[in-house]
Amino acid sequence: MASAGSGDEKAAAAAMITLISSDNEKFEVTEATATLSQTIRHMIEDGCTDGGVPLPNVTSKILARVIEYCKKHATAAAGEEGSSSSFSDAAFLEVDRAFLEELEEFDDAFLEVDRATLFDLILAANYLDIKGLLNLTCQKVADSVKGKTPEQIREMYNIVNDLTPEEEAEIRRETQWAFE
Amino acid sequence: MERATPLGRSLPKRRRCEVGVDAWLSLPPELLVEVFRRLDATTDVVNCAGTCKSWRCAIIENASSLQPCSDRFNPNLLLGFFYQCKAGVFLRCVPDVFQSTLLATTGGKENNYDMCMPRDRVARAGEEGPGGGKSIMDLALYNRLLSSRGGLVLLKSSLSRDAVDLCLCNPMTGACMFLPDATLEVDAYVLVTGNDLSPSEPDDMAVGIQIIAVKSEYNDTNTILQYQHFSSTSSNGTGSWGSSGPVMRSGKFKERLIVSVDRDKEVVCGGTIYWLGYSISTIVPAYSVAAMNMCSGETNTIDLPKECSIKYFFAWRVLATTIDDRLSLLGNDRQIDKSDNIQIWVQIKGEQWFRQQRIHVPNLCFKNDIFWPRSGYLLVEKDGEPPLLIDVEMGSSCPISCHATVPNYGGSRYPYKMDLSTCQK
Repeated sequence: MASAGSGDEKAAAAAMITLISSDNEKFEVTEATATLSQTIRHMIEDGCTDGGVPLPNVTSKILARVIEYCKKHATAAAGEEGSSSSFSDAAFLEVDRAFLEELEEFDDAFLEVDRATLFDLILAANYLDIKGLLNLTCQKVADSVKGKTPEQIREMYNIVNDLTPEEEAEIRRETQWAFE
Repeated sequence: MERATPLGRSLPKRRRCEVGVDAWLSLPPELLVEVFRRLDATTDVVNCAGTCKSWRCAIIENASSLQPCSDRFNPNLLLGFFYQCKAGVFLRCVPDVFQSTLLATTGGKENNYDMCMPRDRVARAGEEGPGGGKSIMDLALYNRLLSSRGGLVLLKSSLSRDAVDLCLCNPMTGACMFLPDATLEVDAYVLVTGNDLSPSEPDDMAVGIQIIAVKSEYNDTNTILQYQHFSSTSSNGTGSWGSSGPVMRSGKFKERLIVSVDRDKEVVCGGTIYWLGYSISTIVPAYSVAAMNMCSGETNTIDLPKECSIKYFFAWRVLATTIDDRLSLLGNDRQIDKSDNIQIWVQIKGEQWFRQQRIHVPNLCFKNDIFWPRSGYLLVEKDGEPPLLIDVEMGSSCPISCHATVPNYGGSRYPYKMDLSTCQK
């Protein structure tokens, strides 16, 4: 994380990174926001971000969402650091809880997307190595298949059943197995 | 942008499955696995495996990181049994959701349900580079089954000319890790995987492997256990055997206790390895449990309740674990009380045992073969019948649909299931 000390504020504000999506759209973000992505963080450390960071695997639509996520979570992280000096412990905890609740609400709302976007977000989170986002999106998909039968899952995700009849028979035998 | 993909590090290299044109969206298998890893119930994983080929392949090829629950055996994830025969080590598949893919990717040719270990797998893996530079011929020499746990199988070379006598093989991925034999003269090897070592952190992907080589010696009054550890946290076989030496004995290690550390009879739970032993300090020999802590090497004796400790010639006793990772003992005294019941005792604490329940299994016989005592399940094999899977918790039993009796040529047999195993490769 970029230093959030008051003396460095200018420097942090000045350090803007340009991200370039696959369709050549440019996004200016602060270093604090960008470094939520380990991939970009490594690039910054290697000093190869001049002239922008091309992200050929991410479309502008998805990149905008990813940046939205990173901004929110970067603010939350910076907010925690900043507040610890100016609040008493109790007040800090209060603020902390409020932050977490707000963040949770944000995450919930953030996941209100169609399935295709969700999968694009997973791909982007993996490519950019943003742990929080990857966890969030994968968990969302996992939760959606919990307790569902194979048919229900196929229906939900538009999956074509390409299993052979033999394989299907095997699965049917499986489910008949009376273990609970 | 030459950086390794973030997930590449911990996931086994996958072999391409045949996937239809309509492969589900664009998520690569490693990301599907990230999703499946977040499922708590194995039934959910099995259901996902039943949706389509690409999901199924992703699950099967990454089975090692997908079993969320530590040591809980799930019959739905049983893949087969490793067994030893004259020709080498084989895996007999149980017909189930995963079998066709398992065989399809191995080219198991011996018959439709047996495959030779580790040859088939590695022959293919060899094309991709790993296999430690061994030719297929060399690999065929690893034909003795030593131990199996956590989806891995430990094999030994029949020739000892090699500096690397042991081969730890992951049949799912074909990965093989070669390591030297213990310097100790060994009676048994106990393979221990990540979950046994840190049961509290099932999420920890950086789990290691430990192999514990044990030698048991009886010298008139005492059994002396000697052991050597091999531990590895890396995937390329680096790691080494620790120094060997007599295991520390605590004051409670009983005199005149004979412990034979037969392979596949040990039980691992709660960071401890247990063997059944018997004491000859009384007129009638009595069963007792010998315990060895994996971390400290400290040994201990645990006495059994009177009702189950007398060692009759025609009775059998076997150690097992419950699903909540407690030691239990199962036994049958048909030849004495004419009952067809299996009795179960569960260790509560120290030498306090609780008789849990009896399970009725018709026509039990002391000659019945009992193997795989772990995770609240037990397999009993009666002559010419498929193995009977006994659910120790529920007191129920059910035959496993197996192509045939799993051959037993006097060697050890191990079940093979999808498991949270160590991260090979």
